[in-house]
Amino acid sequence: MNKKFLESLKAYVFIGPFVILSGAFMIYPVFQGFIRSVYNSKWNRTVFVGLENYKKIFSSDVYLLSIKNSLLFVLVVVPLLIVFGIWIGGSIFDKKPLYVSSVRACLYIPVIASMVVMSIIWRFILDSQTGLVRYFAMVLGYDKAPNILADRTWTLVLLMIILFTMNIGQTVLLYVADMIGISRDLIEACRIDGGSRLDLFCYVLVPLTMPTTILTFITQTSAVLKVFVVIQLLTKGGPNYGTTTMMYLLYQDAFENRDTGTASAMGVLMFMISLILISMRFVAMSRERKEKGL
Amino acid sequence: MRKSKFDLISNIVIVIFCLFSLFPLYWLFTGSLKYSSDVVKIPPDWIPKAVTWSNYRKVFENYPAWNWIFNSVAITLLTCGGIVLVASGAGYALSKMKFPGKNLIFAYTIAALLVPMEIYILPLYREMVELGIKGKYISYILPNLAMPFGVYLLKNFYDSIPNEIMEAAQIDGCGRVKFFFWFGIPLSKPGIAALSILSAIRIWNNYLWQLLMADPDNRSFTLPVGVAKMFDATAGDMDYGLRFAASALTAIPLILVFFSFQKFFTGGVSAGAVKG
Repeated sequence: MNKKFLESLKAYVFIGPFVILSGAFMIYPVFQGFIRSVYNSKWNRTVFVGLENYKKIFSSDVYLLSIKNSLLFVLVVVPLLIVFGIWIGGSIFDKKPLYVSSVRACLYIPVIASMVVMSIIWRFILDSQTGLVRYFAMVLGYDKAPNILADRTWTLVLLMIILFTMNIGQTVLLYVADMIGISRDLIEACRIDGGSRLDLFCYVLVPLTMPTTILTFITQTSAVLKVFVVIQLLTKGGPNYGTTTMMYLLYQDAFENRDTGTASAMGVLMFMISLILISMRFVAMSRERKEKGL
Repeated sequence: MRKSKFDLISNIVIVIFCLFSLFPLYWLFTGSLKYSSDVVKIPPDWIPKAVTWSNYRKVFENYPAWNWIFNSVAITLLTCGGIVLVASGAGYALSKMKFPGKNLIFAYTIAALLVPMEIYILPLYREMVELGIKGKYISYILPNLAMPFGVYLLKNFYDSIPNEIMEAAQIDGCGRVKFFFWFGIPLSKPGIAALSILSAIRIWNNYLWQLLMADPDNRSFTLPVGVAKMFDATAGDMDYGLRFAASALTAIPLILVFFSFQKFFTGGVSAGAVKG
């Protein structure tokens, strides 16, 4: 009994730092966010306002638009990532290792170069006065370069493209790793039965990478929702609030408008979305475990 | 697989797509080596005709770029070291030790993976202000030390060490703690390498947090914050080469690290994510 106690004690020493740090710098602030979300602390006075901050979010056009934009990004970008991830992964995984790692590296480099740098480059390229976009406009026969960042629809499309290029590397990496692990026999069997590449996708690759697809859906939804840098550096939420997202308004309220109540309420809403994703993850994990017979 | 047209076309499109995704960076690096007047030339020089290093020199002469680099490197190295220490201890305990509450802590780790710092960034910022450490190195480091992904990744690595080895060692009088130092750490080296690189990328690029912790003194900035601020401050200037060079400077270190350690990196990402 004593030995067991000693064993647990040692384990707590090992896991302690993680639990303490995580408690102090994650659980505590999340908890604080809940409390602050029912207070209004404008004008240096903190007043209990109940659900007023939440009501403000759900009754203001700008906030509703930001929620709509965030969901739009998720609904467009995440499925594209999954489809392209499977397609690119499935097309390269059985090629020469050098080719596979080159493609992976090419797609991953934008991630490493960071959102800050990528946003700055795109701003250079798209500047209608000095950017490369003028050249492409000329080639296509326009006399003046369009100011893409002044048009809401084009800016949204552009942001989706950037979000896509910033996340596709990770997705392809996971699918390739998963597909390389698929038993050669299955792929061989598909070939012997006269299956085409398309059959290989439909009957082998897509069904067998389902766990990766679920994981990608969950993690990329979370990744797309928290996007901030590219909006801050490229569009500042504009034109005319057209490209604000939940995260961007949270930042604005928290650090520019000093409206900490509303910012905290937005944080709580985003945390709720995280909770949904977390429960999906747990369901997926327990299902997988059952399938493996554990 | 029989050669199929579909596969061939797919791979051609993929190669084009790769070039497309590299193009912005190519444009940045070549632009940083051009004279400012050449940067905005139409039609553009796809390959720089007159190469100059003067843009980089100007970044170091006009801005405290050495301070920015030093801050970024110091914060990244210290944080990564801490992350690896915290995560290897926690990962090992979750994988190989027995204690009450183990399943709960593991479930918490999985859940925490999906709660990004951005969500609770305001209360966390206030916490730093109240602790009186905002702007100090420690405020850049402390909130990032407990990285759930790292714990999860290293737990998977320790899981792949067969229990039999540990039991055999135990019979020889090697306890679980000793085992950790003698076998656990050496055997999980690829995992630790992967975690180091992944967390380095994450910390180096953690622009939002660094922006919030930054002091008004521009020498206290990290590289991404310094470059982004400089970019905003010089928005109307004609000195394009300078801004290209500063942005390139931010991207170069990590790209070099990535190519030096690519082997560990891909192994780590897949090991951490795929094994449920």
